[in-house]
Amino acid sequence: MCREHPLKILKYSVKNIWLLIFPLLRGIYTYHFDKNWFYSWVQGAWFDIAVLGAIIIFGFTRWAFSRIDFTADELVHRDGVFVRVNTYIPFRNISSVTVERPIYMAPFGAMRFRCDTRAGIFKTVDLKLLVSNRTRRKIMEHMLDVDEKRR
Amino acid sequence: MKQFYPDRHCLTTMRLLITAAVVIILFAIRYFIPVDKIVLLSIIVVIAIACFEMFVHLPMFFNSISYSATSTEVTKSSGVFIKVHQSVRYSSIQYTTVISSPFSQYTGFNFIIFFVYGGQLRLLFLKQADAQEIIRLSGSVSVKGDKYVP
Repeated sequence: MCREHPLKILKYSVKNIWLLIFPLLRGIYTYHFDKNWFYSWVQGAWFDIAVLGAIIIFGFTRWAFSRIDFTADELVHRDGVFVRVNTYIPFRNISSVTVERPIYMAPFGAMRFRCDTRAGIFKTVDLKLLVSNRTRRKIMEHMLDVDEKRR
Repeated sequence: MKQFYPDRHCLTTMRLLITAAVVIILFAIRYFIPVDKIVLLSIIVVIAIACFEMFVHLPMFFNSISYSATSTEVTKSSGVFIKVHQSVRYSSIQYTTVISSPFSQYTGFNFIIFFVYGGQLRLLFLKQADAQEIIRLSGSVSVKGDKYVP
């Protein structure tokens, strides 16, 4: 069993960025044209920090529940906290694998891993993961090469 | 050939979810709209839509869904106003996604999506046992004893 790269927490957190509307509303509510506005804003800053914390906790929870499993025949990706989404991709049906290493992810040792089968809609990826080099190697160990498929 | 039908528990679950959503919407309307006449009109419209959905459309939709599985293919028939029949050969399945909610044996929230060449087949609101049976027949998931395969 493997997990995605911890950088994915940020990506999952970004999905809840809309929660920042509440600190924004608070900022608008407390805004007055006087010198004390900043102090009154700072006094309630715990709320903003709590919302930010909640966003990151949501992201972390999503990441913690996202798992990559292998069997002899399949790559299994499990996702979702309450509603579990399990994707089972047989290795023999994988037609292309793309590994992307953006320069800004290099210091973190993270890379994008995309896996495609012949199914699905053109231009959409069947499985998109953010993984470490160790996880990528583990996944690739399970992939059959072309010669093995022929046998 | 085996015939499968959606889990009736799911209809109750959907009704509960719609009721919860309606209550939230009504509170929001009451809170954000200051004009009483608009509030009243909105409440009537929301409740009418919810009642239509819960007691007319959803039961008709659930009655229209059926799945039949043979040893080589699975067929889905559905649609209230437009009937749709979609068949998929197991041999063309490339990969499978299984979606299940907590207590899915009571809620009926078990979904299977078969991704095939050029499209997908979504089998919705299945009973847990039926979902297991369809996955077994399709042979598309080889994980044995996986707790997430319903």
